[in-house]
This record gives sequence, structure tokens and C-alpha cells, in this order.
Amino acid sequence: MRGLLYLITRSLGNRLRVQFRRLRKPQYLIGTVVGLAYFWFFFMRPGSPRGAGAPDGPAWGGAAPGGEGLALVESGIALLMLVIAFLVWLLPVQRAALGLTEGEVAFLFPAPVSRRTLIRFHLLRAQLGLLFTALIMVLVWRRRSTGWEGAALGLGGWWLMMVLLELHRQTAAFVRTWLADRGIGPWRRRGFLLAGMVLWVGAEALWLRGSLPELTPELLKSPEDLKHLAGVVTTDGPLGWVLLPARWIVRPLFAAEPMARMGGMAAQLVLCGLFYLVLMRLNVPIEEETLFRSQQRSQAIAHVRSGNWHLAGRKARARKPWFRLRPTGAPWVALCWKNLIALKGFVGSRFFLIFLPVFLFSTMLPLLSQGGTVAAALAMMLVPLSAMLLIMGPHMLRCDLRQDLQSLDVLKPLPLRGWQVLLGEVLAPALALTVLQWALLALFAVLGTVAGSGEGRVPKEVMTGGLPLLAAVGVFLPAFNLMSVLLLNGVAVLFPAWQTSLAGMGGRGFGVMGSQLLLMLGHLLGMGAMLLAPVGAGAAIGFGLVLAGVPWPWSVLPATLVGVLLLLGELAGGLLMLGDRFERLDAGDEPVL
Amino acid sequence: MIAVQELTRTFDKQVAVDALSFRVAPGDVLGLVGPNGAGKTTTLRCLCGILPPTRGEVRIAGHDLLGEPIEAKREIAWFPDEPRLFDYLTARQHLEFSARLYRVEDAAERGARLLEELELTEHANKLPGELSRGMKQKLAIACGLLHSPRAVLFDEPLTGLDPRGIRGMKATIRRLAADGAAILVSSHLLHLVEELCTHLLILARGRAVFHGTLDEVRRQFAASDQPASLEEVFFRATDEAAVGGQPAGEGKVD
Repeated sequence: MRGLLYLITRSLGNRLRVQFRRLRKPQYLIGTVVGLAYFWFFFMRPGSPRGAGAPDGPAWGGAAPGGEGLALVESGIALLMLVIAFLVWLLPVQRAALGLTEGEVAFLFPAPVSRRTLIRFHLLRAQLGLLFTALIMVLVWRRRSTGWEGAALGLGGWWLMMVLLELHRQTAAFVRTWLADRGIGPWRRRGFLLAGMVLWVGAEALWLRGSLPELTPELLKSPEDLKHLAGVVTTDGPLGWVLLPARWIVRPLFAAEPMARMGGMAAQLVLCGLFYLVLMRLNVPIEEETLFRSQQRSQAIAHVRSGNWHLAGRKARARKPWFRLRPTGAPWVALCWKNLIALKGFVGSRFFLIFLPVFLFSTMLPLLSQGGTVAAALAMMLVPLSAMLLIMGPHMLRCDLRQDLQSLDVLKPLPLRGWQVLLGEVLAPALALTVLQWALLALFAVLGTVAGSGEGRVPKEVMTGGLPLLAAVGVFLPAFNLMSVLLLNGVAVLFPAWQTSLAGMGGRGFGVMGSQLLLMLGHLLGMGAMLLAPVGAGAAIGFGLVLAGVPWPWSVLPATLVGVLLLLGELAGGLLMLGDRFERLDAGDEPVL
Repeated sequence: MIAVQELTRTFDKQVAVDALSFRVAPGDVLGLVGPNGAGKTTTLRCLCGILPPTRGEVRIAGHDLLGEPIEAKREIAWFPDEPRLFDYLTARQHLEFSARLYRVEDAAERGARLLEELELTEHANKLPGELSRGMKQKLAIACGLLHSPRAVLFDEPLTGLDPRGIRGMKATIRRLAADGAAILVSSHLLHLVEELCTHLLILARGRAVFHGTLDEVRRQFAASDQPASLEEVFFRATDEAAVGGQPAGEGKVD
């Protein structure tokens, strides 16, 4: 075990050293400073909702309920834990495995290290992550008036809770494997568990009937009645008994008195010990599954580091192209074609399976009901959705140069000018966003027509605008999306090391959080700067037309057209500038990892 | 076909390639050898346009790589040591993609022929993740050869290949040379260089230690009347450069 302790401590030390050394690079330092400032501002700053000086509250951060309310919340969380625990036994089909890296598997499996030591190593190494999560939970949900002792107890409670969950997850996997090796596969196991569940529900129903004969739906009209019933059900009878250990476990997170919290922690410790014993005693094969998962994990990390976040954790599938690519014609179209295929991986069929029924249902429902208010509500719901898509969409759809930046070795030898590479790269996400937004616009038009304008419906100004307004927005969207995506790709071209460092950090930590915040801020500022002239010119023309007597909705369309033309001019200039930069981009500037 | 004049590439203050000059004629196979860190891969990356040279000139089929990059790059095929493929494109889609980039009009027939020759036809609809290392290498070769390049650059072409793959790769290099392509092969495998190359360029610390035909190099580094083996040549040339700090055999360097 000493050798393994050496591995843990040295790995931790080296990891910290690398992370501190990274801070010498401005892109990491700035990102980390901004991330830490953001965290402090929202969770620790005096006066912030969670900071010092904020009103005292219960551990979960809501309004402090009285004794009965607290017990109910405790029971609710305990019930949730119980459901999660039940699902851990019911659903998974994977066999038991230890969370080791490929390197650890290669070194430790052939080494003279016992199985039990390997399990201990796995558990011990997980502690740091669990402790960090517990620390974050304490900071987020901390109480103001409990002082250092209370904070320490809170940390202990959260940590033990995390340890318990991990031990339970691992124990469940070991037992599932043990059962599977004795002929009790997933379906038989599920059958037993569900049968037990049915029996238990029956027992609960019988108990309810016997204990509360006066219970009828009529008696449960007020929230107070419901609350009382929930209290009785969760503390007495079969459910109350089953919930008892779960309630002990969550008590350290809720109880105000130190003794009650320590009692809960003792219960957590006892359960941890029990699970640990099972893990040590149950001799199930773990090697093959551990090896398989370590390879999967390595692949996922490689995908994240190469910017292909969407491929991490799932298997890539061959997808049909959206259109046939002829061998002749503008060569940059090939890049757009390639990215559109990749886009299917981002969006996937599941997206359409969800989006299309929602689209159809929300369109058909108001038409069938002939009701204006439902349609109006749905139409107005589309406004924030579209706004979110407009701003966040380009950040989410990364099937462009941001994804291909790690493949500069492939892109740079291509016989294309820099601007052609940029154009081919940015077109796919801009096109996808435009189509999606046009669909939302069409839905808005349908719903708006059904709803009509008026009080509590779609604003009259919007409805009277009708077709010209719709056309203006429709014309504006492609140029806007192109600008938005180009700006984000511009960051990749101008600051490639920063972009790759984001991927290199693996999507975790204050550095990534700060970098993402900076990126969003810069993106918004960039959009503002680029829109300044087009919007100004468009507004001037629009006002001029209105003053000349053109009805306002009809003045918007030519004004938008002028604005879009100006914006396209800016985009062409930006494309040439970034393309030139891309040609001079030095692929030798590798991030320090 | 490949003409390099005074090529220099620095990273910060470190000189990776120092005033390198050489030529590869059509049909020639130039072996680029040298110890780790000698500047082989940097040289190749400069030749295919991935890294801009700090100084010097690279001409491919008469086109200046900096002045006429599109025309020059149309004539190049570059095969890095690890095949770089797109995770979400199938083998066939990779060929369609390459065809459009290089405007290969008869891509359908050529692509089908290449897939057949490289025994990839039955894997045409698979993603790179579903292919073995050797098949990925073959796919990269198919994409690179689709546009009939006149300058072909290989970086460690045998890495990870099985005996059958090695034989296939050697045959491909020989056929390309016979068809008149100028070929540059960077490798640590001296027996491969000995077997395939007509010329040799030995690099040490970014500088050319020797450039000439295989016979010339054997004669120059012979310790006795017997011609030296390539392994002996390699150690003598690079050791002399390491001890002297100066390139050996300078008289032979172009």
C-alpha cells in the first residue's frame, strides 16, 4: 500500500505543480482569476445570497420552515436518496469495475498488489474529489451563524455523505456482478426488486387503510392537510421504517444541533463500514471491466481535449451527408459539408425526436382548441427560447474551426486560402442555427395568427407588423448567425493557444469557468461593435422612410436589408483579415499540459 | 520537384532547422534520417505548409510554397506518422471530401480503385474509430493519393503497421516513385531507408550532415576499403556532428 500511497501523493503534487505552472501563461492566469472572482462574487462576497452577512437559513438554502416543515424536507430528501439507491440496484447492467486510468491498469494489474489493496487504492484516491465536492457544497449551502465548528461539522457531514454514496454505488456494482455470475442476470434481478417493491407498496396501502380509515380525497383539500398526511406517511408505517436509516444519513445536512448532526454522522460511518466490508469480502472479477472502462475514459478525455465534447462518452456513428458533394466546384464547400455531417452528432436524431413532436403538438393544440390564450402563451414562450438560441447557440454548436483547431496538421496543407477555410468552417453552424431559428419564427407566426393580438396575447405592434416584420427578422438572422459564429472562430484564430488550453483543461476548474465567462463577454462586446454601424444605418433609413410616410412595418424591411448588406460587408472584411491570420497561424504553438 | 533553399525554422530562440538546402527530383526517394530532435518532422511540416519557415524558400513542382501556396499544395501529399482522420466521416466520405478539396473530377472511379487496391472496399462505410491502425493508415494514403500528387512526404510511414501493411506501404512508395513523384521519407528505420531510398539526407541539430546518394554516403563514411553499412554511417555522421558541433561531410551538402 505504501507504493500506492506514493503514487497518490506524488501524482497530486505533480498535478498541482503543473496547474500552478500553467498560471505563468496569461491565458490560464486570466481565466483562473476571472473564475475565482466569479465564484467569490456569487458565493462568498459580503451581501451576496450565500455570502457573509446574508440572512441565516437552513442548509438547503430555502426559507427556514418550522419543526414540522424541517422534518418533512428531511423526509423528502431521505426519500429521494432512497429512490436513487433503489435505481442503482435496479437499472445498471455494467459489471463491477474500479475507476483506474489506463496507466494505472498497465502498472498495477501485473504488479504483486492484492485485489483488496487495489480496491482500497481506488477508494482512497477518490477521497480528494469527494472532499472537494463536499467543500463546494458547504460553501454553497453553508449557514452563517454556525461558526467554524459548524462549518467543520457541515464539511464532515457532506464528505461522509459523498463517501457513503460512492461506497454504495461500488457495493451495488459488486453485488450485481456476484448475482450475475450466479445466474441472476439484470432482468431476474429487476424482477425480484420490482416484486419486492410491489409487496412493499401493498403493505403501505394496507397500513394506510388500517391506520387512517377516515382518509378520503375530500379530506385532502387544503395544502395543510396534504402536509400533515405526508408527515404521517413518511414517519410511521412501512415507509417510515424504510426511511429511518436514510433520514439518519441526511440528518447532518439538516439538523441544527451539533449532537443530532454527530449522531447522523455516526450512522453514516456505520453504513460506510458495512459497505466497505462487503467490498472487501465479495470476490468478484473486476479486471476485464476495469480495463475496458479505462480505455473508454482515455478516449473520452482525448475527445474533450481535441474539442469534440459531443463525442466524449458516446460512440460515434456513421451518418449520411445532408447533400451529395460533387468533386468539382468551390472547394471550401467540402469543409461545410464535413461539418454538417459532424453537426448530426451534435444535434442527433434524439433532438428531432423531441423537437418535432413539441413543434407539431404546440402548433396543433391551439389550432384544435381554437383558443387564443394558449397559442399566445406558447408564442411568447418562443421569444426567450429564440433569444437564448441566438446568443448561446453559437457557443453550443462547435462544429467549426474550434473543433478542428487540433487538426491544423490536416487543414493547413489543404490547397485553400485562409478565408476559404474560415468560410467553409463557419458556414455549417451558422446554417444550422438559421434553419432552427426560421422554424421557430414560422411557429411564432402560426401561433401569433391563431392567438391574435390584444390584452394578454401577442403585442399588437408585433401582430400589425405581420409579414414585413417576419421577413425582416428572417433576412437578418443568417447574417447575424454568421457574424456570431465568425467572432467565436476569430477567437480560435487569433488566440489558438487559449482556445486549445480550454480544451486541454478538460472542461473543469476555475480556469475553464473564467475563460468561458471571458469568451462570452468578448463575444457580446464583439457583436455589439459589429452591429453598431449596420443598426445605425438601418435605423436612420427606417426613420427616414417613416418620416416620408411609409407605414412603419414596411419601413423595417428595407432598413434591415441595408443593415444586413453593411453587416455582410463587415463580415467579408473580417473573413479576409482572419483568413490572412489563419495562413500565418503557427501550428507549432502547442499548449503546455 | 521539391527544392529547398536555406530553410530555417526557429521556435522562440531555439533553431530547429538551420539553413537546410536540398532537392528531390521526380522519381527519387530521399530518406531523411537523424537522431531525435534533429529537425526531421519540423522540416516535413515546413515543406507541406503546416509551419511557416522563419527564413528560406520551398518550391514544390516549381511553385513557391509561400508565394503560390494553393498551386504548390495541390501537388503535395503529406502523411504524418499518425493518420489524422475525422472521427465522424466514413472512409468513403473522407475520399469525397478530399476529391472536392483537390477538385478531382474522376474521383468516383479513382476512389473506388484506390479502395480496392488498398483492400478497403468492404470498410468504405466505416468510421475511423471502427478501423484498425493499419486500415486508418491505408485510408490516409488513399485520400493523399487521390489527386495524384507530384511531391509526397512521409513521416515514419511504417509506424504501427503489421508485416502485410509494411509490405503494402513499401510497394506504394516504390510505385509512386516509378510514376515520377518526388518522395521524401523521414524514418528512424535505417533498413527501410536502405531498401527504398535513392538518396539520403542526414540531419543533426537541425543542420544537414550529409546529402547524397546511398553509394556516396557509404563511401564517404567507410572506415576501411569496405563500404560502411547505413547504421555505421548514421552513428559516425551524427557522432561527429555531436562532438564537433559542426556538420560533418560539409563538402557533400548541397
